[in-house]
Amino acid sequence: MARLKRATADFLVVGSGVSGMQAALDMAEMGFRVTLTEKTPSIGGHMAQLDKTFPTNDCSMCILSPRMVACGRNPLISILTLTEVLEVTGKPGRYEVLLRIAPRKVDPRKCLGCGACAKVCPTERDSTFNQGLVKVKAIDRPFPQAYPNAYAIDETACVRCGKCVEACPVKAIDLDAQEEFIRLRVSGIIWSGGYRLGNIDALIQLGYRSDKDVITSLEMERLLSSSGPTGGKLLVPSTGKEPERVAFLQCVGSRDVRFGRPYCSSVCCTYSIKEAILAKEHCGGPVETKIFYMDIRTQGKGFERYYMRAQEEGVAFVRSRVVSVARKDGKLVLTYSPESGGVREEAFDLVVLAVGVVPNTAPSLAATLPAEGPYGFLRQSGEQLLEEPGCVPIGPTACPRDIPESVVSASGGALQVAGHTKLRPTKTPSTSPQFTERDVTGEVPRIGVFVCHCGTNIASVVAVKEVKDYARTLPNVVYAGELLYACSEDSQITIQKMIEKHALNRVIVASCSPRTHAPLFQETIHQKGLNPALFDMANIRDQCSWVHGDTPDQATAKAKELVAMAVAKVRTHRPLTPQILTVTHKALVLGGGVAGMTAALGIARRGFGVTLVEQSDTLGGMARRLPRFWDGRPVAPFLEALTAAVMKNELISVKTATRITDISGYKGHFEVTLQNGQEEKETVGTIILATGAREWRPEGQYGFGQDDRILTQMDLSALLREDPERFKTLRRVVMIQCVGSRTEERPYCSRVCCTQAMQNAMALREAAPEAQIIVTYRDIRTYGLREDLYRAAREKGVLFVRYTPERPPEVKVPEDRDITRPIPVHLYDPILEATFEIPAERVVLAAAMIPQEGNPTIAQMAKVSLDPDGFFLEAHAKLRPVDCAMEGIFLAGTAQGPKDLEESMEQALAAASRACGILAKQALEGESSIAEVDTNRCAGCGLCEMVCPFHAIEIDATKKVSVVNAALCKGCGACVASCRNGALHLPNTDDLQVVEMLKALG
Amino acid sequence: MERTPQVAKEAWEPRIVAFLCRWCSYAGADLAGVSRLSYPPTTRVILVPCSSRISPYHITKALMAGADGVLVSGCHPGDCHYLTGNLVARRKFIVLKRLLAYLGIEEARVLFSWISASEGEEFAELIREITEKVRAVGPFRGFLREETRDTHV
Amino acid sequence: MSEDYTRALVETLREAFEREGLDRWIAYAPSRVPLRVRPTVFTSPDELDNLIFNGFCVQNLAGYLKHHPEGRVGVLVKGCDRRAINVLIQEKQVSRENLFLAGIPCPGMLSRTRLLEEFPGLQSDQVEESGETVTVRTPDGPRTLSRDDMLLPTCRSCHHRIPEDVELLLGPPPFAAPEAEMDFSAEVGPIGEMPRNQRAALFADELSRCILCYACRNICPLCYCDTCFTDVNQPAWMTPALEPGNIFFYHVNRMMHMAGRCVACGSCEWVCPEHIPLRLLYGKITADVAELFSYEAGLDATLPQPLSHFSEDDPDEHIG
Repeated sequence: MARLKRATADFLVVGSGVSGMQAALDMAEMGFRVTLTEKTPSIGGHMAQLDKTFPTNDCSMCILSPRMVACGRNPLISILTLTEVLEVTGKPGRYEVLLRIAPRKVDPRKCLGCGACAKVCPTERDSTFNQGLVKVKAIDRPFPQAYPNAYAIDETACVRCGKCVEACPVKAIDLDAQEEFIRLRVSGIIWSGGYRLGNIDALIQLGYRSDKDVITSLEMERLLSSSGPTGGKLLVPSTGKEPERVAFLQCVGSRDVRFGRPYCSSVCCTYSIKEAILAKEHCGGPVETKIFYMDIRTQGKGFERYYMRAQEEGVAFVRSRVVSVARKDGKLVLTYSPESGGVREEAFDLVVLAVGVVPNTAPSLAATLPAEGPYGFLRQSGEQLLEEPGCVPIGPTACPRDIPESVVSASGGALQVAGHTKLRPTKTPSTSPQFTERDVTGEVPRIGVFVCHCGTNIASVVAVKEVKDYARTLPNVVYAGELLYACSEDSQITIQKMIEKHALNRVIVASCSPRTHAPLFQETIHQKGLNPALFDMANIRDQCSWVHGDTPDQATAKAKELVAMAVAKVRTHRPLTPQILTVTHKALVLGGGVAGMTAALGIARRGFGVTLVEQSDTLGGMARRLPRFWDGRPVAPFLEALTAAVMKNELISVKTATRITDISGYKGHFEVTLQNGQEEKETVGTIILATGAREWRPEGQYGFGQDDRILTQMDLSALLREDPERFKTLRRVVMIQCVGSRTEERPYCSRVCCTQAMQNAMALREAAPEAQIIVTYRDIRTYGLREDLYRAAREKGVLFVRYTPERPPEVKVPEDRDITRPIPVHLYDPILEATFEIPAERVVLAAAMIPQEGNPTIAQMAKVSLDPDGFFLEAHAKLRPVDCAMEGIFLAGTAQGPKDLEESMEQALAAASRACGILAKQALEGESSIAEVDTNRCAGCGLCEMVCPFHAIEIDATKKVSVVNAALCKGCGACVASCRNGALHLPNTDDLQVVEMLKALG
Repeated sequence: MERTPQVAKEAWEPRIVAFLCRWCSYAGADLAGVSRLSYPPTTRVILVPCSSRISPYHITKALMAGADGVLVSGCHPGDCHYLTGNLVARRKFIVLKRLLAYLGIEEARVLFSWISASEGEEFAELIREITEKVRAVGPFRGFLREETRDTHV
Repeated sequence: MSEDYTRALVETLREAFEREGLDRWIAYAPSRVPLRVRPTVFTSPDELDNLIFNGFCVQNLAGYLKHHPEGRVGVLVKGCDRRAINVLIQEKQVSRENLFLAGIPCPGMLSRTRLLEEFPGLQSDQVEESGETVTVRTPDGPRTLSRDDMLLPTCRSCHHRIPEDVELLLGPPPFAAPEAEMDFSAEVGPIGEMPRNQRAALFADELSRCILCYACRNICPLCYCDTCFTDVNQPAWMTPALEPGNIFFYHVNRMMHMAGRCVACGSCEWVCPEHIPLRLLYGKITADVAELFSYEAGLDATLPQPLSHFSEDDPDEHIG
């Protein structure tokens, strides 16, 4: 009989990829209880499958797995894997959701992840995680870092032989486990269904499925990954050898009306560039890589530089769509027609298809989600972003987008959905409940050592008894014992009993990795009144028995030494308590454009006060010059409504014509000095930088400034917004793209100009239907759903002529400045290899979006960094796109880099959401091990101040010694290592502990 | 304070103190274990928050305390949990590495590397490799104990 | 000749002392020890009568600032004194506003050891410096030597004799050795080329003479910590026992402390009672910092110290 349980939570997040995890974490930060569901056996989503991430080539798993652990550890997040949503009823504020949990058949609370089951399992199946590139057992764990760290049985492959049940040392497997149902009551739902690669079976001419060596980009990720089927060696599947030539085919099933997927998938250009760079890095010999593309769309932050780097590293780019891939003489032969005409054939060893993405839909949520957008995506418009619906779609399910954009939408979505509850600051959600601690000051160390067998995982290699006996001989060790499974529930009781019986004041567990298990044991000893810092581990499994199975004697010797080192270390440990920082429940938003107003409103609606500071006299910023959102909705009425909402919100205090002159303090408590004729001080808990960007005035370029008929796209937008009729007699307009963008001086894409050109071109066509409009471009970057505009423009007869940076268009401003005569524009067409003269009546320049001049000053005050282009730098390109390295300060809108109005709003919501994560708390819990200064010893040389990445340590000007700001210190210890005479200390990870451990070497 | 190897040459196994950063390299070492990759039992790992926590004191002290080799491994540039700690460390260590080599310490004894959390295989391979390197130069006899005195004159 | 120069020097400095309303002047006075001078803090203009400047003014005067933090101080600076002051400014030990610097184009300092080797029992008043020569009055009559030959090794390789950014640049002394042709680290390259075991033996030989007297540290203008790493406990890195481990630990870590800071003033080598050629150690650090990070210590007080800093594209040849 299937079981039905009832449960409640504040919110439900469906889908646990990077977006779903972010939404859950942000809601938990705000103090809500969240249920996070996942249909596969582990959280993590697609990002777990990626090798590296662009454009920094950061290791994907390195940055993702701490997020997974954070979700798993958070007491406010409950995770349900193998779970799907069957039905949703109710309305915003009160939903009832029916969930089905498929049987894992392995109890994740019991499973130790030891793998004994898989060893004996007789059945194999394709690995989903590895894209079917390898076989795994019917009972398996999708990947080593999986959360929960437990095995699961694939019902379809299992033959119920029962061998795993016998092999399991903790009886975690139940082959008869049945599905379960949960009726969950929540106030709101976040749909984070993610994406999948589109079906490309119809493209038989490209050889996918018929030829092993034609692979998808996701399969390529697994081949490149060091945890993948080839251990990170790029090997051609059919030969097992490294390839000499690799081709990447772009837009496979994207920008293709035949598949009903005319949109651009937005991420493929940059990931193919990444895979091409990595292919070169991963192979021993030289590898030729060639990317076949229509337009290179590296519109994201830092992507254009990445594209340039790829070219420098020898990745070749060919503008052509490949017609077919066929096997000839052992090679994969590509047929394509190059720009110069004709048909060419070229042989490769490996062909990677950049397959377009398709959103995962949610039939069960259809009624509660906003209306389905084009092509199955569930997009929210600008107006909708200001609403607070009960159910919000986030991530790539909303539109094709990359990881940071998904994370932004997740944070923002969390805030939108939270709209139904007026937040009240809650108690700091602590990861471990507080227990009364015994004061151990002055006590002689009494150390207990627990050596774990881990079933046979340790005991089959290391002589556990010998290690235990040895431990007993070490100084200050008053008890040593063995445990079968140190992590099991009964072992916790044993440890606690021994603490009592032997009056232990320090504990060592010799078992597995402290990364995964220290928190468990620390809670165990904490319950018995021992401060969690009076603990350490010796990793005798992951870093001993599992890797030294061939040399058991030496493994035992090593285990002993590791225990001796741990004992020597813990002997010198002292109790540590996390810093508690108070929070001022108020925010300051700098910049009164759409991003700043959206952020301010988002925070105020949660019930927190906001000071909105704008340096000009009016709110609205750049949006006051824009006629339309990219999707065609008019900006003016929206802007009016937004401004009105901000002005009438009692919690928002708007200060126009105001600048800031100083920022000091830290997360939870910043002091900001304002200047508007008189000086004013504000104390706030968090700051959002939404200072915007501006359009470059391209003086001297293409005749700009010499003839009023030569104007920028922004100028044209503003004129169109005022009165499109003025253009009705126009006959010919030339638009020039990338003016000042993608240049040596500004090696970045301004992102919005291609879309703006499409909109303005079509608006002109409407005003002057007879006019000829010619757009000259390098690559058309109407990414994502904006591709529709490009197609529409072409359909409407707008002409597109490509130019290369070597031969840009030339604008010949008439010397007599006779404005009745058209302006001759010379265009060189690289396809026709000919120059044309076009008599244009208007020349429209897509001028670069550039950072505000005041950014360096603000950056210095706020102790945040700028990127090489002068925009504010986020804390992490992928996973912390709105945070600054300086905690408590967030970024919204174009201050962080070029984006359009809707994207600026999404980011503003995300910034507001992150800010609310701080404001919702009574107090913040800081690090427990932070740097300390011995002021008697400190010479005040300031080296520590220089090396601190967090600006957490400064020389006190009067006392001439270092002072650590406990709120900012993260405990990395760089300052301690920089100090020449040991005036700095990092408690329990100090020089003393290192030396004690070294002395314990046998 | 200084160790004179008392074991016979055949029985001698190199002992390498490995300072691993918590966020990347220690995780990489764990992954090698989870993946059951085999490597020689020559390392004694000391877990530190960041490679920037390690100073020349630690490295020289480890050799003084009886290590035959010292490894410091942190996150790859760009991956540092503390933003740029590994980059400060990189500068310090190149100067130290060159200095020790200049003073006649075998280069194999002091090693630096970047190992990420997903590089279990790379970690195992690194340990195999440095074990062989240290084995090739033999036990560390302590500082300034060169037997080939006077050969320089 | 050098007396005339000193007299003129005294008058110039006395004038500046009064005009600037200084509290102290740091310079040199005669010493009873042969072929040495005594770094001296002059507290009134009158005391300056006792001031001296000659080829034995080796001790780096920047080092005497660390104990006199208050007031406005005048310092007579050679190139290396001036550079050391820049390092002290970088490290917030002195502030530039409190200093009045009188720069003296350095003639290069003479090696006391070499002179005494040649002329045992030599007294300061037997030495006359003029032009590019040094004349020694001996019972057998005067002997004239080339100044260049008699220079301290570090001075022979100095490229920064003329102090920069000073309030008062004095005229050159009437005695000086020609501008150096070799580099401070010139001897380092050949040692680096030697087979490893020979290098190891060389340093084993040289450093095993070390008696851990810490004179090199004490005289260093840039060592100002009240407690040195040699003396800390909890943990004790080393002991004062004359064991090779302690000696090596001391020198390696001290060198790491000097990387990007050493201004090659040569005081440490000059003061070493065991005549350990410390320039071979500090030259190595200096050469590497220059090669790796294009940095030379003490030239610009506004630059960050190279070892507390980084660049994204720093060399990573050492990462295995």
